[in-house]
Amino acid sequence: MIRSLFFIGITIFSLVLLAGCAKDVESVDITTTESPEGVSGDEVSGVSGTGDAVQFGIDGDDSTDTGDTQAVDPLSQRTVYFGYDESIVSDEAQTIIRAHAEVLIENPDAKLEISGHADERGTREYNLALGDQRAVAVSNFFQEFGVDVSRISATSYGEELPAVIGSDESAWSLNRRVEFDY
Amino acid sequence: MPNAASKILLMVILLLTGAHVHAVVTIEIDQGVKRGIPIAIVPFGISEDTDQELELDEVIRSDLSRTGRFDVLDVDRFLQTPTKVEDVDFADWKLISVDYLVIGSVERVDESNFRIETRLFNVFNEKQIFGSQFIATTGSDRQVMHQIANEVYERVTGTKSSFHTRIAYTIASATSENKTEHRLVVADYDGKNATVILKTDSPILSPSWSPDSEKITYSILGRDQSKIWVQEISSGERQIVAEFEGQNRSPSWSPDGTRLAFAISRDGNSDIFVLTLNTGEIIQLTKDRQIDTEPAWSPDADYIVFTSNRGKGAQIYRVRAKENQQIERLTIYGKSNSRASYSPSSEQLILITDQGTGNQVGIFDIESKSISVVSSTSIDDSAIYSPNGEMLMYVVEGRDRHIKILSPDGRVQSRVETVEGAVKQVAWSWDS
Repeated sequence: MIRSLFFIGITIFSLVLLAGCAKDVESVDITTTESPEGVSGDEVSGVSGTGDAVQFGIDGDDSTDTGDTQAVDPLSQRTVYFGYDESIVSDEAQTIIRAHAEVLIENPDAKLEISGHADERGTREYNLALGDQRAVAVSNFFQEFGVDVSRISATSYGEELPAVIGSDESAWSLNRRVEFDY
Repeated sequence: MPNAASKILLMVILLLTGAHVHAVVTIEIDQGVKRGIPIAIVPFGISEDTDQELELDEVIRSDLSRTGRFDVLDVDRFLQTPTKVEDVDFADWKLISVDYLVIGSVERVDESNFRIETRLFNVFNEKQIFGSQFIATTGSDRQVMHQIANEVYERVTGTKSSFHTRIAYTIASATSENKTEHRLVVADYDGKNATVILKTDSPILSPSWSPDSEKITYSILGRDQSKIWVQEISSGERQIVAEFEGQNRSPSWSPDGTRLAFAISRDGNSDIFVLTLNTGEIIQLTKDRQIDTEPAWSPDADYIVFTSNRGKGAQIYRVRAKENQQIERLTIYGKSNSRASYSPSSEQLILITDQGTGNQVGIFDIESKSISVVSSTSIDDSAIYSPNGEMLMYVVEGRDRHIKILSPDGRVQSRVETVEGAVKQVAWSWDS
């Protein structure tokens, strides 16, 4: 199910990219976006209404299957998302991590910085600890895919640095995340 | 104690010179449920030479209303507004069903001092319960009013109030360079007399007062490491007390003042520790591989409650504050329960609970294990009892983050005024 959401995400994301090319529009930012109208409350969607955001790895019951899996390069993404109060790294997130791990193996001097984040729900200290768990979960996959632990630093910002401001599921789902950079 | 009081007075004088604003305090009362003790507080008489704007009877009305134990009558229902004993006609007060009556007056003594006289009457037997005179310095008017409110509260209910206590809160705001500035603020319990005691670029977390209410401990989220600090409020002097390997977080001062409970997070695993302040020694209370954080002491300092996700989702657990003790799960109802702290009676915990309608303030009864939701908001954090247990305070999250005071039954709620910004957490001082 989660996989299919991801595929929808990728498909629409690539459509957005194509649309962007056609109209000769600047880059598409997938991590910072306004909460789209019509997506609110507990309603969960794989992709937000305006088409400028990609969400996946969310609890939801959308089960449409699109099939196409090769639409977008996982290297274009440096953020992976989590379910509410969870630190399980989804298959989709693992695909992204594996792609970046390969780049890191080819570039042995690069250092990897990982930061874990939570949505605003739940208490502040618990969310910091949850951000730790998420960051470490992602770090563990990088290590499993061959990146030496000495190259990795992992931090948690809990709910302190939301990617999106807003108090509904469309914002929360984008804030439950791990970002990495190298 | 006299020392502490004069220090507060001095601070107040320094802070408030000339800056008097009559703010309107909005207190929402759900009248549908049970009512409090009916009391009337008559606007104080002000002598003609008292040209200074003073905050007087409104402070007493707000204090008494917030607890939910009093039904403070609207001034426009009064049949008379006496300011002296000889003008009081008890029949007028019996007619509008008032049990207690407070009157007062203010006159100038000299350039910077005022004499405030006040009396509390029992309307039934037409007797004076107490009468007092206070000398207020310019700027200490609110302090004197809190003192009068405390006197009324204690004489009528038999319990001490928390009107003279203080709060500390953390707040964030955007600076002109598009950065976030984090501040630690100390204020009266009602948000007045706010003083910023720390400004930093990094988030300040989990303030907790020392039992003498002279120091505050907190954690600062560092880029590489979070450390725990202790700061003296009056001098502003501060020092690091915990920088153990990993992230040092969530400090909570023990009721005997000698120890801090806190969390250390390493490799995604947060555990509870206790630090003895004068030796720097630590003991470890929890050792599992999941999240254990947000420790808080029982009033007798024997137990620590904490949040853990060792089961499914966050729940509250309890352990004795010694090494190698059994860990006991306390909360059983609700999708999640977190950030618990004890009521002064030790019988309840206040916590943040998810009963399927968001994250709300809940009161957990330790004996029966039942939880009652007392807030009407749904993204709540940082809930605490007042030192006397007769008020609750918490942070409302969302678009407009602010602090709320609640009566323990949730019936009476009011917003606490803060400095500009988004409030993160709040801590109540001790009664000292």
